[in-house]
Amino acid sequence: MEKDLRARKAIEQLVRQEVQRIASETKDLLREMVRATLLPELRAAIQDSISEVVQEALSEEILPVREADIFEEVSGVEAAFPEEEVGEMPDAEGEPALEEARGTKNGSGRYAYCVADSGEMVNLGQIGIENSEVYTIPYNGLCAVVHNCSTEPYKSEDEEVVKGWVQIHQKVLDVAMERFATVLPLGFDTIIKSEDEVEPDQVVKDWLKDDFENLREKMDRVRGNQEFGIQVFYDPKVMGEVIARESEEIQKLQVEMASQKPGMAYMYKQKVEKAVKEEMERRAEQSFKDLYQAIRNQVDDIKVEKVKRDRDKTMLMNLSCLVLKEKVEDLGNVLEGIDNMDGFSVRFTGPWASHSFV
Amino acid sequence: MPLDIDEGNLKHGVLGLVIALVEIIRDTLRIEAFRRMDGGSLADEECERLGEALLDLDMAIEEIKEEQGITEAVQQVRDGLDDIAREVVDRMANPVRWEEEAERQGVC
Repeated sequence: MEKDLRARKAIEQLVRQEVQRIASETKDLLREMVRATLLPELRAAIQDSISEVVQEALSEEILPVREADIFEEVSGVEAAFPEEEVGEMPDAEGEPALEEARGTKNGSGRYAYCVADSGEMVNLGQIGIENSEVYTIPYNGLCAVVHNCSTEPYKSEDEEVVKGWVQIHQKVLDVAMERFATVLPLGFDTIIKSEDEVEPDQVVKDWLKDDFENLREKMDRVRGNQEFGIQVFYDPKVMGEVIARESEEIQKLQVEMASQKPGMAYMYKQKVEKAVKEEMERRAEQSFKDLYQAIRNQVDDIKVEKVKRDRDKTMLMNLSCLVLKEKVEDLGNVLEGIDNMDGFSVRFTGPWASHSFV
Repeated sequence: MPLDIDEGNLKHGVLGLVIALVEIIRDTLRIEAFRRMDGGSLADEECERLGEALLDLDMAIEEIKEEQGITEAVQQVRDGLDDIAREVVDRMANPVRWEEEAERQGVC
């Protein structure tokens, strides 16, 4: 018992010293970091939690009908309009009212999805955001794919609503790609405004004209290519087992661990885990180099994107690749090879419009 | 970078944050313990006691997480902090980022 107590005291002191040391060394940096990043997040998280609790409490009372309003008041959410009206279902009745609310009736803005490699003037139908009619505005062998809208950007604090819009944006790009083969995608919420009574279509034309050289050049660059996303994952569990099997150092540690008392055995276990982790990082780095090279050989251009976290597997790399159409199959074969490696898996998505290379 | 600790209510969030901090302190502690053990300044008996204490701490943390159902919340806080740390390191270690940063500040 007394031993326990002493050990605890020792640890307590250790902690205090270490924390003080670290704190004094990095005080300013930490303060800046906390102020810049943590505080707003924390505040938002706490606010969210509070508003949820309040909302719960309120809705438990007698006002079930006004629940939505209450939520808006409490959390300051300004959903521009209810989600269901933004869905893919054409909603003939809901639409006019919606347009009026946004002031889009005589829309003086043009929401642009992409620039396509074609001088055609076509109507693609009501496939746009909020079922808007999507059509092309041609200029000299290029055309902008647009719908009429107000000059206000599409904005909502409701993530689901925004997600819906972005998905529709993506869908329009897919349709345009199918029809025109080569497109230069534009980001979500690209709105071209008209000023001084100029006809908005003319403003779009002027933009195509002014930027013509640049657009043409980019178009030439991506023609015949498609963009694909490639993500390679490894399963740390499988990788860890392989390493434990192969590394002599780790095997030695494990043998030594078996004959230790609980306290030391714990320390050994940590040591083993650390050794496995370091070896895993070393191998991951090597795999990255090897696989990157293998993929690089099959593609026209390549970009390394940030890796994201996944639940059970670790993302080794996240690539955007520009691939010649006739090379896609070869690339697929290379990726299949990687997918068959022990503990590795590949996610291959596309073809996308060439977002990452224009 | 979002520090998403929204587990449905405030208690979970705050408790998750606290336990995440305790875990981080535990990790630091462990590193220090290794340093002392490898440095040879501790007797075998002392190493054993240190190990046992850390083991107890580990078990206590796991128990609390299990009891309160906050394992997920704790992980989210830690992931969030990891992201911030990674971001800061990347910003300091990557000269390309300095220019981007300067540009952005110039623009804004």
